[in-house]
Amino acid sequence: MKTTFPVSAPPGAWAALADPQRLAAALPNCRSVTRDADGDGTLHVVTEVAVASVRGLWAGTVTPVDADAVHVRGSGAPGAVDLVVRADPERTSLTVEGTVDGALGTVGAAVLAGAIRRMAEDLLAATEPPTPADSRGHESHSDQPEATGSGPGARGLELGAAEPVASGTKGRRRVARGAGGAALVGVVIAVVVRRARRRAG
Amino acid sequence: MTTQWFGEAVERREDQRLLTGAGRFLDDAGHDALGVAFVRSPHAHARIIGVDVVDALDVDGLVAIYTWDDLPGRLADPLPLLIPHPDLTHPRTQYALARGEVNHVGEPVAMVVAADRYIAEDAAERVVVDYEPLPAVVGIGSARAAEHLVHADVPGNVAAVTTQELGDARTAIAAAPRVLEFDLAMERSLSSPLEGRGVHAHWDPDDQRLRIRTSTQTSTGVRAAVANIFGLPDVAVEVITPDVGGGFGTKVVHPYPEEVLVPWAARTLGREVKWVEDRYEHFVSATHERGQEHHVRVGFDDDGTILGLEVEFWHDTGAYTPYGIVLPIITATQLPGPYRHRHYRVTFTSLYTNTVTCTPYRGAGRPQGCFVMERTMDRIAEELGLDRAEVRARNLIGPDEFPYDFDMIFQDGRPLIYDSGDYPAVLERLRDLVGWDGFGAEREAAAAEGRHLGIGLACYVEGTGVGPYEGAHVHVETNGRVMVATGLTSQGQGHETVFAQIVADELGVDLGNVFVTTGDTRRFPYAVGTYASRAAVMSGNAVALAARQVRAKAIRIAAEALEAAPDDLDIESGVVHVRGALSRGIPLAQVAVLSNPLRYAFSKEAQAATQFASPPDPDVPPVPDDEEPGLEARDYYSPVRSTFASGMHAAVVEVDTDTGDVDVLRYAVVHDCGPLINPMIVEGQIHGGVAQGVAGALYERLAYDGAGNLTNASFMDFLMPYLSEVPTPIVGHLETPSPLNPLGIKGAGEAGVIPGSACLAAAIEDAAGVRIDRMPISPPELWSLLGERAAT
Repeated sequence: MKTTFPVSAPPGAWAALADPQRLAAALPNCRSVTRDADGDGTLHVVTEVAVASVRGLWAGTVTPVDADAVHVRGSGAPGAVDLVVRADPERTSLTVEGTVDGALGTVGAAVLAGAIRRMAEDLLAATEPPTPADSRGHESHSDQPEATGSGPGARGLELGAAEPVASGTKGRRRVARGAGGAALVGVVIAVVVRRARRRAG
Repeated sequence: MTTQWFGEAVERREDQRLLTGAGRFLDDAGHDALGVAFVRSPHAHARIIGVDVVDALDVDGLVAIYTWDDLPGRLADPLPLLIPHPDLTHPRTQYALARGEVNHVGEPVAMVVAADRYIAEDAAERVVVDYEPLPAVVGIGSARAAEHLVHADVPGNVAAVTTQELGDARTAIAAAPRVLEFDLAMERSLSSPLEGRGVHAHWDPDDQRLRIRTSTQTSTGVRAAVANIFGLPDVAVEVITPDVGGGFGTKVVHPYPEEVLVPWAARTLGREVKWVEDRYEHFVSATHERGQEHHVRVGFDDDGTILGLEVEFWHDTGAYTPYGIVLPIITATQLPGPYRHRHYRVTFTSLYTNTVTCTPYRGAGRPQGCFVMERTMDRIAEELGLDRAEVRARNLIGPDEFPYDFDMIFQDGRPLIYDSGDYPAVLERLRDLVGWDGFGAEREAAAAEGRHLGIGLACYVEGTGVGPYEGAHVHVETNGRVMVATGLTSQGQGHETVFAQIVADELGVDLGNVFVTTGDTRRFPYAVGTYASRAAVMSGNAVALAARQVRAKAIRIAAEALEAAPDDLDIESGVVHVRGALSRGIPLAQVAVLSNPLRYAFSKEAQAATQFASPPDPDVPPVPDDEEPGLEARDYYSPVRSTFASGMHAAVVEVDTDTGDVDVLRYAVVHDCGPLINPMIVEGQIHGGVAQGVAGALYERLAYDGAGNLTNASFMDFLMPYLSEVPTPIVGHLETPSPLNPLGIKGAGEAGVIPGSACLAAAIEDAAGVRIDRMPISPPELWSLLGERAAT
């Protein structure tokens, strides 16, 4: 399958999703998001998924490919997924390409594409504070991608980068992009969890 | 024989089931199946920019939504061109789901599968298809003008042009003392059976088999197409036709998109999947027919004898040509009717339009051909001031002129040769039945009361029983039951009854012991289908031939058991016995036991077939070299060409000149389909046909607007007549046997509908005194014709 769609992220959204803890919090019915201890930046995700009538537990990995893309692989009762999620450099659109097998592969390409798009929108929106009153500090944190980029979320990606991360502005930018790429993991996973979250909400 | 079943008006064996609500129709199967709804095009012609299903994802119970992009392998190809023809230079068939472009309102774009049909409908409503509308080609005039094209790569919207000629019509017309030239037209209608289409499919993972139930007229056709498209072995695809609530032609199309999509979804999802057509879907996605415009030139002498006839006509084939050009070929070749033609030339152009595809609807091109020929006869009579029946009588082919060769090719690709008939006798009988000769007085009496009566008649010849073949299997079980299977399907015609009558006679068994199965590929895998008034001729003869083989085998086995000469044996009431000595006999059930040598007895009776039951001939194997176990046989009937039935209708109508209303006062039919297997069933076919003929003449039409919207796509707006509007015909039969098949029979399924429009147009013209040159006609249309006459 292959689908491309525009995205519009609130300030700081990409960085917020780079944090495994915040990613896990943003994914409804997520069991866990963990990072390889010795890792190459790979995240291990276990979550419940639901697309149309396909539901069940899914476990997979998300590995950075380069600054703009991640590779998502995994399987479970809903099916096997092998997708590359790539953002355009301006972060205004996403392209998801690869194969989806098992039950998830039977729902129809339009359903998958629609679900992925909806998930991306919902997940990015979910990084916004729910109300101004209780999330002021959070919001200001999110407004500083560099800070997040140097936090735990970015560190894992640095460790996993294919080439040593250079210091300085250029390196920081790459890290930030890498973090953004990692965040796309959530987008893909969120594809499958959206329904459950809607129900919960 | 004790009883002769052939020719008896025995009650229909299927009616107990069908009339008590115990029938098993498509929708009676698969209660737990997933439901399907289709997203269909609201545009007659448009490009598909995109399909957005995001909103449908919120519908709880959604299982899948498929578009063309999802279709694998051959399922992504255009559906098969069922009947190719050398003159069909630009065939086009649709994709199972639209690929980038839609060509008529109703074309399926997306398939929604959900927990049930209700949910599927809810989800389908939320699918947003982005269309870029294109100019629509609607109607023959627009298609001929070709200002816009239905298919960008089909110049002039022309699918095919064909000419056939007997003699030299143009020269004959040029030399004729009198020549008339005029236009005639007929509008579009549709089959509208009580039960629409429907498909239920189940992939059995244990047997690795796809089981499909579909409301079709050809289960073997669906099976072949599905097996081919899916790349499955033939034996892995089972197609079963359950009880079908009418077909009238439209269900012979196969595979309809739904017939491949539903099985594919069932296999993909590993679940039972069912789709049942709703009435709107029937109007916009089941095939239509009848729209044609004709230009006629006829040359004749002062006696009314036709010297030359040239007809050019334009056929509206709709968006696609899956059924090739069979319809206009039938019009072209059946137009000559029962008349002696020496010089006849016919040319037709089949045109694409952005409307539902046209394929045969009961009558299949013949109502148009009959309308053209019979209106022509009426014009000649008017021109010469002659009686309309008399002009016809002067042109009828005589009973001694058969076989009558038209030197043309019929719709089955074989010569157009009438095999038998007695047209003058049919006409004489009809004049009697309707009171033709005394009508003048009747008209005057009515006129004295200020009423406007008219009479009309129309004649037809119908090629029936087209090949290539049908087959049958007849099996006498050890319990005495006679199981009969034939591959063609039933839509309520009474096949279970008439085929049982034939077998009961051939085998010498009671009718109640014969059980007929139709349209189940598990029971009989070789068949063509039910269309073209062919079932009785084709499968009727096939069951007779198979039963004759079983009879011969039963007598061989019984002769040995009874130690009698085979020639001395007969079968009566299921007992093979020495002729004249009923007590020296053996029941067929026991013959069936003996026909199958056994190691293991399964019952007391079966012990007789075991190895120590009787002293064997040591030199002959238990199953001799030229025998097979079992009292059963399979045989096929394949005709050299079609057999031609005939008939004539006459109607007396009253026209209300103030309102344009038409009342059919009397309707007479004389029909010759050869020997009648079951007169009641044939009369039923005629009654139903007349009902559809009257409907097509006075009520039913499909009203497309200029943009290609079908504006009367419901039973609120499409005027299907009630029983109160349909006359009960007076019916007479002639029985001229066909020399072409063992039973001498001809088809009767479509005949009743063929002359309806021609006959009623003539009667209305006679009553109202205005020219009727297009059908159907509504009261407002007739009223305005009456107004035009008054103004001149």
